[in-house]
Amino acid sequence: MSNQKKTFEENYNELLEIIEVLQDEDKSLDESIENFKKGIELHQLCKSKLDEAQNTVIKIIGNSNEN
Amino acid sequence: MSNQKQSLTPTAVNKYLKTILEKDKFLISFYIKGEISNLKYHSNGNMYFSIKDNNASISCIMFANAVKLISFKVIEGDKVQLQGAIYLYVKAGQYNINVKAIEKIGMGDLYLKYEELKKNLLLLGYFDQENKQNIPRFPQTIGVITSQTGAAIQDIITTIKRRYPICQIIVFPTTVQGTKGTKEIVDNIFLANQKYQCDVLIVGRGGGSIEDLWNFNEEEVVKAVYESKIPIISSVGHETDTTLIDLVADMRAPTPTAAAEIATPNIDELNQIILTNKNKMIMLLKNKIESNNLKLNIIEQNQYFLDPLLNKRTSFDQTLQEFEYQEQEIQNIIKNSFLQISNLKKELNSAVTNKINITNKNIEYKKELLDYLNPLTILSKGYSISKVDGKVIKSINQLKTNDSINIMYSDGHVEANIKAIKEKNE
Repeated sequence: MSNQKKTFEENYNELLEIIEVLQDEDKSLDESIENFKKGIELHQLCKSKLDEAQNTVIKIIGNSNEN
Repeated sequence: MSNQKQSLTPTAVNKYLKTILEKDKFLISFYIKGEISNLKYHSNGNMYFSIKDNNASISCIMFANAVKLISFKVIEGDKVQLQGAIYLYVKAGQYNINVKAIEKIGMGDLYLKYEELKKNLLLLGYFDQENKQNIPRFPQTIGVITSQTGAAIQDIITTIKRRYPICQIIVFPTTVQGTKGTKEIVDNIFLANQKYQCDVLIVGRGGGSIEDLWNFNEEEVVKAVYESKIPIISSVGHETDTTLIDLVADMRAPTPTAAAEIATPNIDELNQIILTNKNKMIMLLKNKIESNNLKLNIIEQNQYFLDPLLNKRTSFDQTLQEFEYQEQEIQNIIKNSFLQISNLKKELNSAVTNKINITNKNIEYKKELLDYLNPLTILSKGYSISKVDGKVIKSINQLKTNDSINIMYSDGHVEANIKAIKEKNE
């Protein structure tokens, strides 16, 4: 899925956009259902990113003077 | 150690020195010139600082009652003249100046340099708000340029781990004090921009004197921050210290912890927001379905849906009703016409009858009149008509003696001769 390549921020922003669209009363039920499915998918992607039980990666760079 | 010489105690030595120093006629009350450094205001109103020249410094304390009398705001780098006395603490064996009065001589060199550079950079637009970059909301990599050994780096790492453990931290160990500091800070800002995909940089160090923080007032450092393509959060010293890097940075944090907080979202809050958003989506879809259901219900309840022929039937009914109405109208008209005709007939009858009656009466009357005027009738009453030569005689002038006349009676006529003619009045 292409969504998985996106950053958390992109998915998050897209999720907010979908909520905007869902609030639009002029959209048809079919469109709403499509958007809802997409939204739930994005929510899942965001959540799994936040749930990544990894420890913070800390890289220490040898500073330029020591190199 | 039987032949031990008489020993002094530290207390005794300090007390002895205290007596000498505090009684010395030069030190009881003296004036001293120098630059203010390490200035701290205590909450009890006392002021602590050092007075220094290029080679040495002496700790000073100014008590609240004396601080109240100062007519200007004392800041780091102020060149001042103090009046005070030496005071020695027996416990620590340290002495300081108990400052009674303070007077400004001129601003300190460092302060002047700072002000001049600040003015120049301000004119060049280094501090303009429009040149500042936004700090990304969800960083994937955070670069930290600070000392690897200080408390600042620990505070930053701890805070980032707690708030947003899913991001990567790249630490650029950097000397942040003294002569090497400026170059290292500049080099690492450059390195972070060139080689590492950092979304945001935290540049700074913990608290210290104005000299300790001076690297962050250097023009090269300010320019490197200004030119960085990566947004920079500065955090130098304490909140009360404002270095030039704080003015040029995209965001300034009062402490290293605050810098890490600015750089990261809180993962717990983020989880909450995402959950809220999910619930919101569910609610919105539910509402949509419900409102569609409602619309459907309205359609189902519509009379045309319940009875599709309603419209046709209604129009048929209307037509029929109209027709019936018109029929009624026509019948009424016919009825009225008949009535009128019948009335007219009656009127005519009565008029004709009247006319006949009147005519009959007229005939009667005429007949009577005729009867009355019939000469024969008159003759029968004894009148007669006389004629001469066929003409009725109305006057004696028509006659002459011996004329033969004819006299008519009701039952015949006679011939007679006129014997004499006499006028009426003769």
